[in-house]
Amino acid sequence: MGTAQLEKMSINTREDCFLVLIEENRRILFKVANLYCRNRADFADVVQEMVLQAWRSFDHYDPSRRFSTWLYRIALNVGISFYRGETRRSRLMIPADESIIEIAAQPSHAAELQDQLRLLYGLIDRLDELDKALALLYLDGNPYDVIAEVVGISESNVGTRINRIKQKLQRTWADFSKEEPLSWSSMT
Amino acid sequence: MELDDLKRAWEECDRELDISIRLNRRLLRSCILESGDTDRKQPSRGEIDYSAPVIVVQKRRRTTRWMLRLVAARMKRSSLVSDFDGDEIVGKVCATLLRVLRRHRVLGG
Repeated sequence: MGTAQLEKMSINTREDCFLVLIEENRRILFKVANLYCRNRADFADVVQEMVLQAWRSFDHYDPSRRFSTWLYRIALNVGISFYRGETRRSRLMIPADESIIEIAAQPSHAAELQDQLRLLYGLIDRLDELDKALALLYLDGNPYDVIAEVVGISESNVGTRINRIKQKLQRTWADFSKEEPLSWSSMT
Repeated sequence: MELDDLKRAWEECDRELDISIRLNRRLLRSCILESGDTDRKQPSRGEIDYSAPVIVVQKRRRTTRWMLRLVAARMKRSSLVSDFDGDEIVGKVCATLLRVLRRHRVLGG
């Protein structure tokens, strides 16, 4: 969403503008937090930290660029830092039973689809932090130039790394398939 | 199974996510208000700009982490931090160190 579109929506305050952009891109926060968090409590903390870091940097956001690319950077940086245990907990306290992003309804995936997704998360979980980020950006359908911009490597390097990730995932898949018929329980 | 099969499943899930997740606007707004206004300046030298490319930020974090460990070890030995929040003091000392180093570099030409 560009500045012109935001103006059309008669958004007056910076807070409102920020809220609209976060609302539109909430899936990014949800997926990145899911990728780097082990439990529900961590999930809420990480999402809060992502939002706070995004808000603190919002003045430096260039509206002529895609907001999603900018948000991916912040979300991934917070997610990876948290995963490595390098993020100090924010001093802002949110109630234990609340989170900035909530699941309003259970997704109505077919059982097969759910199984595939769990499997995919299980496979991705075996990658290192940076490869996880690349896998997520690739699966989200981002072109290589956007991935390069988010991560900070060249487009050709992105291509090479994604090919390696594909091979790695397929090897892991093959290993599991040899051991037993693949199911979610075997991946966790 | 190919990765592309799973990519299709991922895309389908994405569409479902749009319907099934929502933002707690009240909580989000209170978090924003509590954290104060955005910085209207570039991040200072000791701070990490999370909106920079992932590789850059993570390298920076590793460097800072190394410095923090060093300072923390020194402070622990001298028992300076026993009654204080260690993280907070180490952060402040680290920022001071960076300022001193920068000044030293400027003076040194």
